[in-house]
Amino acid sequence: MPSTRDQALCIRHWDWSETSQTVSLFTRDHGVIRGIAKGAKRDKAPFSGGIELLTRGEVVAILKPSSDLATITAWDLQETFPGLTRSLEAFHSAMYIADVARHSLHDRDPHPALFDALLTALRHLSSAELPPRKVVLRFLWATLNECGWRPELQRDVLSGAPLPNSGELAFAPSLGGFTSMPDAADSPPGPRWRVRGQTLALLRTLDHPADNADPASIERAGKLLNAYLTTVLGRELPAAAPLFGKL
Amino acid sequence: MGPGPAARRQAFPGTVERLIAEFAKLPGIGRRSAERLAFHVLKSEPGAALGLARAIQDVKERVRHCSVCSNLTDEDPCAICADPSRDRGTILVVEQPKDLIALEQTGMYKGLYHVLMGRLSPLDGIGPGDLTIAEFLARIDDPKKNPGGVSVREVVLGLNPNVEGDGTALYLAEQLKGRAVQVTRLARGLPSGGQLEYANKAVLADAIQGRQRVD
Ligand SMILES: [Zn+2]
Repeated sequence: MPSTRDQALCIRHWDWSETSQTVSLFTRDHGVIRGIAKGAKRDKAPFSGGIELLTRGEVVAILKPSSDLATITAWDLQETFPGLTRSLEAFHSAMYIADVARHSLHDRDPHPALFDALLTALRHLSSAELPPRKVVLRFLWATLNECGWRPELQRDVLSGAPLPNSGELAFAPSLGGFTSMPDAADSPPGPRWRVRGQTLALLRTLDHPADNADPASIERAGKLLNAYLTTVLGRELPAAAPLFGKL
Repeated sequence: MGPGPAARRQAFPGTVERLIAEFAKLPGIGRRSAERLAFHVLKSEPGAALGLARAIQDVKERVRHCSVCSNLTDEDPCAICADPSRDRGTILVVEQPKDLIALEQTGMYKGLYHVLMGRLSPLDGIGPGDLTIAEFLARIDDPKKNPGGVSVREVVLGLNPNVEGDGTALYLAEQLKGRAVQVTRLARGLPSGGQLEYANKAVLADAIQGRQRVD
């Protein structure tokens, strides 16, 4: 069985025994790989001392089509993100975006653009180059786009009319977009979340993010996209609570 | 072809099968090793086998967590908390009892401990409320809750050097801000007595990150 070599970010790990680990690695060209790294924590093993959460490395793995679990044969550590533990907000943001990636992707379904987005996000969080909330919002947006869950931002999901840029709106998660007529009599069932026009305006800038959004709007938009992702995935992500509170 | 594993398993009497199944639940023990252990028990003297059973029972019935530091103990408070010769003004915070044991075996540390019983692990939904952080802070805020009624002067953070351990240390450091204690953390990086060329990449990366000014 030939082995595969790829760039990867460790997005989850469990100690399987004193020396072995099971890991979820988000690889650039092979998507998320779950695998066992036997003897990974032995000193002489080709695993750079063990595969640590939220580090980047070059992985060598044997991907058997017959098994969900790959055999990880080597991990060459390439990059750590020490600044993630400089602030609790950066720490929780990094955990959250790793959780988003892991739960949004199917195993072995490649998304190189999302891999790049996660790597950029971790670098931004570690260097404190951007506020953590902004990094999280951008990554959520990249995930929704990559996974085909991008909300409709131009047209009212009920009437089809162009959406206004201001005033009170509602977000209909089951319809994947906004409406300005949440109480319409014949509209499909499902929750409607009240949203400010500024939140929609901010989301519209995310394809070409500018740096002039105010922190309160960024926070509201992040909350909205997290709530929407929760609906899409049908579950709350464990790492969301420290950032967004319980839904 | 010989009989498959399913056929072989049915060959054991039910009680032996139960013992094998129990051994196989232990970490690092597969089916084969579990069978070997079960046969060892079958062959051994009744006294030896029952000694094992009783030791397991005693551990489960008598060992509990120290009400002060959460260390494993069969007396409350634990021997470390009860020892008046230790420096009760210093608390070393660790994740697990096994970390405490490793540090204690060095014989180099004379203060007290606090075992958090885990670390912040947002991916598992483990937050501060799931650890013994409230009990730890209570020892600092109220000397009566620390052995001998001694006020805590120094807290040494001894969490594992990885992103979750560091996150937990950061959380504790923030909680300790504004409280009148000195906060230190165990040094990290290259192991002493080793050689640079043999250190693994993770250790070297950590040592480079944590480099210190030489005055
Ligand atoms: Zn104790």
